[in-house]
Amino acid sequence: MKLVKDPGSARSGFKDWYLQRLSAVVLAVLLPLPLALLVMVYTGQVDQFGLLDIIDHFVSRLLHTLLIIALIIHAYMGLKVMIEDYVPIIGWRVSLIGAMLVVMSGFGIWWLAIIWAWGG
Amino acid sequence: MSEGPEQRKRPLSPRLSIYRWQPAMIASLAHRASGLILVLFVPLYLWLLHGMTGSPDHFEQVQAWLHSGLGKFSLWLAGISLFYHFCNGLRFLSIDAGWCESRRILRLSARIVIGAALVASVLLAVMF
Amino acid sequence: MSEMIALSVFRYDPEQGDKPAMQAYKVPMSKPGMKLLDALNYIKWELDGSLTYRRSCGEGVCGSDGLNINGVNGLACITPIAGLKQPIHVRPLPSMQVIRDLVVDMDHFFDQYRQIQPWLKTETPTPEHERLQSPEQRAELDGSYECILCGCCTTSCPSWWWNGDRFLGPAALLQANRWIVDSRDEAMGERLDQLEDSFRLYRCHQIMNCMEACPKELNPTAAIDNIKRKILARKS
Repeated sequence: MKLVKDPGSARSGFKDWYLQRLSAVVLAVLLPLPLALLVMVYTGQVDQFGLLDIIDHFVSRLLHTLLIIALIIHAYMGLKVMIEDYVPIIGWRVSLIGAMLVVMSGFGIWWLAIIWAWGG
Repeated sequence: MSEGPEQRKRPLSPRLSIYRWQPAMIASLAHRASGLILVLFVPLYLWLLHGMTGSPDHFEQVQAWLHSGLGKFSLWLAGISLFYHFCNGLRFLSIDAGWCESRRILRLSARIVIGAALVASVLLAVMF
Repeated sequence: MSEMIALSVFRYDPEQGDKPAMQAYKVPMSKPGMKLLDALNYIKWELDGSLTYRRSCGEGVCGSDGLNINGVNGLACITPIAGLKQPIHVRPLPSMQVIRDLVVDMDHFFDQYRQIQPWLKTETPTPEHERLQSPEQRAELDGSYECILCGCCTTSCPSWWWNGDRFLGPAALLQANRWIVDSRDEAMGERLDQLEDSFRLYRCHQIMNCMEACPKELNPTAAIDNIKRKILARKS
């Protein structure tokens, strides 16, 4: 008799893996941009008007939107894998992943609203 | 299986407490740890951005916070986490793509990303 | 007077029911190039007959003396004493149920091997002669066929420690890849179907302890990534 009763393959798992990597590529390209901006503001090379000029631009808003979507997908997939790894009780696992999905998507929608409301 | 009712439960042999940490293992765990730090940094980043695009008073407040001890530490922590997660992320992607999968390169690249992150953390600490 | 080797060996006696403990031994360095298995044999034959461990061929082919040696898994029979820091800590393979001393229950490990259906599957009629392979096709199996199923890699994997009931582990997955890349096997689709599971396959997070532990210097991480790429290729 087998030690573990095998429920068979779930025929899934590829999508998580794939989205994680796809969003990683998007982030690798986009993430250095706001970081550079933050550093320039920190060092005083860019003042508030300069920052607003950059951030209000349509292209910035578009890139920011892409960035936030990729960031949330990447963070969601990353935390999901960690929860699956370390939370062995199915009830807790599903609850945590569900809660995370609600919080993250809510956060994302709120931020998209703010980005597109900038400057009026 | 041999788990009769009279048989006592067999002990589990020790695992994490005794396993020797190797560069690739550290690289993988550090990828998780830095990812977790970055997730926590996202709300902070958006709060900073929100403050900076608000009134000039807001902007000054955020600037002052950034230059405080806690602000500097947060930037430093997020900076090295991002640097490491970025470098090791590229490493993971290239391994997934099958470009550097020889045992030697897998070992060497783990050492390189960890070393680069250590150097970057010192540099970043000096710069701030 | 020969040099003495200090060892600290994991002991567990189910009949005593005590907690497992480490026991210290001193063994003389009897010959140049002495292996760890020689030291264990000395303990069993000369010092303490109650010490229990598995061994058979004594030359790294049968795969029965996989142990955790100074924190890393390996085969006692091909691990030279000379390179080891003393006292040499010898423990059973990690995250396994201990039957006695260094002997662990390997049933689940072999269940998982069986789960990947390690045999040739074909649909085409059996030819009159053998199913032939070109030298190039045969070379595809290099790095897979050498596996002796000692369990060093699978029991070194933290992902397997936490989710070993569902994650197949590096050894089984290396073997799965061995059949996927075999030019004679005609069931790649079926095999990929069976592997495409967030726990069976995708628990691998490239920790690479498997690669570091493998006494045959194979690369299970690369094998697992190859399976992932095969799934990627048929999905995109």
